[in-house]
This record gives sequence, C-alpha cells and structure tokens, in this order.
Amino acid sequence: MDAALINSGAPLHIVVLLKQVFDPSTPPDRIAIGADHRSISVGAGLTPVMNGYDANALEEAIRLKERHGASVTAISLGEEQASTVVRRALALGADAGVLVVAPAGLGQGATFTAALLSAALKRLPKADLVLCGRASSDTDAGQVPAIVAAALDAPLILPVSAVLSSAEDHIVVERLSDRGVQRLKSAFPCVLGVSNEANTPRPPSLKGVMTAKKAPLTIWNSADLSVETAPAVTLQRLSARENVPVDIEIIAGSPAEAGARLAERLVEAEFVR
Amino acid sequence: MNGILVFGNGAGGALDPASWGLGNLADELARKLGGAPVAGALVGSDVSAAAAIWAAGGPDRIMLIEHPSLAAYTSEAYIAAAQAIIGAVQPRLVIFPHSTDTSEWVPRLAAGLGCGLVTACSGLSAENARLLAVKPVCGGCIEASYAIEGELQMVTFAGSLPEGRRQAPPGEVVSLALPLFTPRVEWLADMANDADDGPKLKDARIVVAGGLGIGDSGNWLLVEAAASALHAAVGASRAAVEMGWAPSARQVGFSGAKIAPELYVAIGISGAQHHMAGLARAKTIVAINSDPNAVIFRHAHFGVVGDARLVVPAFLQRLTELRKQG
Repeated sequence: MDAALINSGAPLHIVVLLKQVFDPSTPPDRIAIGADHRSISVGAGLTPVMNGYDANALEEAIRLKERHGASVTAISLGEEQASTVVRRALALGADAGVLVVAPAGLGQGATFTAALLSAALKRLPKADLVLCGRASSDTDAGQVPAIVAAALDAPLILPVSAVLSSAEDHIVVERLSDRGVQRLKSAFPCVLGVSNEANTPRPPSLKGVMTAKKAPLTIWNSADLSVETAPAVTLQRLSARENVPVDIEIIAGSPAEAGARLAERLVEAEFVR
Repeated sequence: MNGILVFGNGAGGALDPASWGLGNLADELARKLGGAPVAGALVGSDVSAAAAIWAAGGPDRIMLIEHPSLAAYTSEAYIAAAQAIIGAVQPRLVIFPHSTDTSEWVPRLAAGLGCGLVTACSGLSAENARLLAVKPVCGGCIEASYAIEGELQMVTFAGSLPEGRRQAPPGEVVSLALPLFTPRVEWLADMANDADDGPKLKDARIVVAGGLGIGDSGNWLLVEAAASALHAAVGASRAAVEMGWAPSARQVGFSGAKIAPELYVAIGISGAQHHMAGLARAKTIVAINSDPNAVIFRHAHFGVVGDARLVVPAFLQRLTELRKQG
C-alpha cells in the first residue's frame, strides 16, 4: 500500500500468454497422426479451446485488474484461428490483444515459440507481470514460461495455486511444492505459471463478446519479430501408444458377492493383509 | 565432457530410494554411449549422510552442495547449486527426477543455459550417439520421440526405473560451495500438505481412486473408507476433481500424479487415456465399474462389473471378516 501511495504512476502492466489447443476431452480415436509423423489432426467439428491452465492465468490477470487497476495485454501464438482465444481474453476484460502468427503444432519446439513470444513482449510496454498456464495440455512440457522468464531475465514461479496479494513492486503467491504449499514473494518483473487451484475462470458476458468481436488486434508475424534460434529439441516422431492387453480376471456374481470375492482374491494374492 | 550427471534426492540422513534407480538408468545409458562416466548430485541442507549411502552402491562420484539456505526448496538456490555442479562435472547429459519442484527449476535452469530439455520423459535411448527421449503427449494417447541437440542436454524423468544397487567399491563424495546469488523471490513459508495424514499418493504401495461412476459427493466416502481399510492413499480421476469431490493434489493422470503403486483400485473410473497415463507404472490394477465396456477393464488384472455403491461395502465387510480370521 505504501508503495502505491509513493508512486501512483503507471498501473501494473500484466501480459497473459495464451495457447490454443485441441480440446483435451477429444476421444483418442478422433486424434489422427499426420503422414509426416510429426503432426496431429483432430476430427471435423471439434473446436480448439484455450489451454485450461491459461484460462486460469487470464482469470488471475482480470482479478488483479479489478483490484489494482492493472492493464492487461493478451498474446497468443498460432495460426489465424488462434485469434479466437485473444478475442475471448478481450471479452473477459483484457485491454489489448496481440496475435503472433506462426505455426504452433506439436513439431514446433518450445525454444522458437518462446523466442517469438519474448520478442513480442519486448515490443510492448514493459511487463511487470507475465502470467501463463503451468503447462499446456497437448505437450505437457511446461517450458515456454521458463524460456520467456530467461529472455526477460526474470524469476519464474510455478505452479502457482493462489495469488495472495500484490503491490506496486511485488506479488505474494502460493506455490505447490513437492512437500505441500509454499508462500513466496517476488519482485517485478516475474513470470508466474498458474495452476487450476488458483481460481475458476468466469464465462464471458454477451456484451463482452460483442465488443471483443469488433476490437482491433495487433498482428505480428515471425518476420516482424525477426528472431533466430536453433532448435534445442527436435520432434522425431509421433506414434499411437499401444495398450498391452492385460489378462483380466472378472469376478462374477451379484455386486455384493463379487465385492466379497474380490476381498478374498486380494488377500489370497497377498496384496492385502 | 561426455559423462552423465544424475540428480538424486535426500534429506535428514536418508536417500530417496528413487535415486538408486536414476543412477541405474544413467549407467545403462552410459554403456550405450560407450562407457561415459556417471556422477551423482545431491543438493540440500542435510544431505551428506545420503551422499555417503548413495556412494556406497551408486555412482563413482557424488557431487554434493550442502548449505543451510537450501533447507527450504527455492528455485533460485537450486539453480545456482546445479549450475556449480554442472560447471564442475561438464556432463553431456543431466538427468533429473520429475517432480513439482523440478518442473519449476529445471526448465528455468535449462533456459538460462540455453540447452535442450525434455520434461517428464518416460524413456531414454541412444541412437548413433544421439540421445532420444520419449514422453506421452496429447493426454497420453500419443507418444512423442524427441532428439535433444547441443553439447549440454537435460531430461526430467518420470518413467519406470531399473532396480538394484551396484556391487563396486564406494564412490567418492566431492563437496562444492553454494555460489553467491541474489534472490529475487523471497521465501516466506512452507506449509506441509493438508491435515490428511494418509499415505502420500506419490509413494503409496496401494492407491484407491474414484471417478465419476461414484455418482455423487456423498458416495465419495466409499472411496475414502476403502482407502482407509487398505491403508492406501486416495486418488481421483480428473472428472472427480472437476466435480469437487477431491482436491487436485489427488488427481492421478497425465496432468496429475504419475504413480507406481503395487495395487491400484479404480472405483467408478472409466479409464480415459489421460487417466491411464498416470498409471503406466502401476503393477496390479483392480477395476470396479458398472459399465462392462469401460476401457479400464482392458488395463485391469481384476475386474468387478457392478455398482460401486453395492460392491465396495461388501468388499469392506468381507475384508474385515478375513482379518478377524487371520
């Protein structure tokens, strides 16, 4: 609070990184591996969605804006259709939206994606806080937040399960750890990888959706951002995971008989004493 | 310049048993890479006893950084310590155990050093001296194989580990100083996991987990009763967590805990790929589900087709009787 009184200048600038992914509830049999073995396609009629953890990051940004009057910029990287997640962010209360047009398939390494996002961040007014999901549901890699943090020379906290408070120059959060939960205070700028414990994302209002439809987006492509990186990791091949069939012992009988028999089998097999 | 460095875990005089397996994994890979040397690394406030234990049946050399400021985990301190060890060993590959903490500090370390990393990988192999890491992606239904480029390569490993201890003369323990660094994140407090004092999901011998088939939050008590009777940890499917029946720390699967129990009892869980991705290392699976076509039965060793609300009470009653007899 004191800091806010001393320096009531520019509000906090929060940048949220959003990834569009295929819906994680897509049944596996609707996911096909491409002929190049480095890409996937999902069946027709399945709409891509905002990565779940990124939706938590966006919600946290909106809450900080409501509490502290921050300005929020949403960035997504992907093909043209990724503009839908940027517009969704605008509908929910983000002040500005940026789409970095670049391929975002499974074959794109985190290094290139993060380099483009970092270059975009450096073109924007300096971010005090960068919020993103702890990982994305397609690759489950969790590397983009770290590479962006390194590019900004900022610390990274992940997975963030609660944002407790924030002031002019720092933020206090809770983070899940191997042993429980830890409470941490970070100076700005910093990068937070938000987890689903943090909040329940709100749905956009109809008015927000209508306004966001017409809102201008800033569109940059990889040539505009001129980044050069050598891939640190290259995808060689995607393959469907084969399920090794298991010999199952079905325990027959009425539910009560089968339940009792299951107890006997587990004791016989010495799993249970 | 060609060796493998493997990070173990230890505290309070004990070595995390997974460290043995990680060392064995590094040994296997070193042989494929033409006999590269393997070094272990331990970082913490109280790890010298663990280092001695590991050196007695593990890597030839254990690098140790012990400092009071490492008592609580903070990423910046661990990154500083790991950088010092990597600088001293100059490995080609660094293997870390995959955990919530390593999912924070290892990517930031790799990004700072500009080196290639594959997180949560389930397998490692060498092909013409090139390192390949595989991991499940897309909710676990697809396996991706990645080549890691560059002179320094890293993986966090979440797959099954080869068991055993090496019969060899004890290795040496090399102690290094924690380099000075200026933390930008201030550690305020550590709070141990909620009051539930059941076995930890990660290393429980038995896990009892529930899914949507349980029906409603009231019936969740059946999962907890079964877990309590089996001295098991409680797990949950993503759907059960989304319904609010269990906290997300209990979620088993692709985006939750990847576990390796002797026995996994799945109650009302359909067996979606993203759930099964957390069970690749479970030894025996029991499925209780009212839908005879549930995918979980393709993975299970014992199956009961029936309503969990009737099956589980009968199971618990019979178990109590058997224990009285025994």
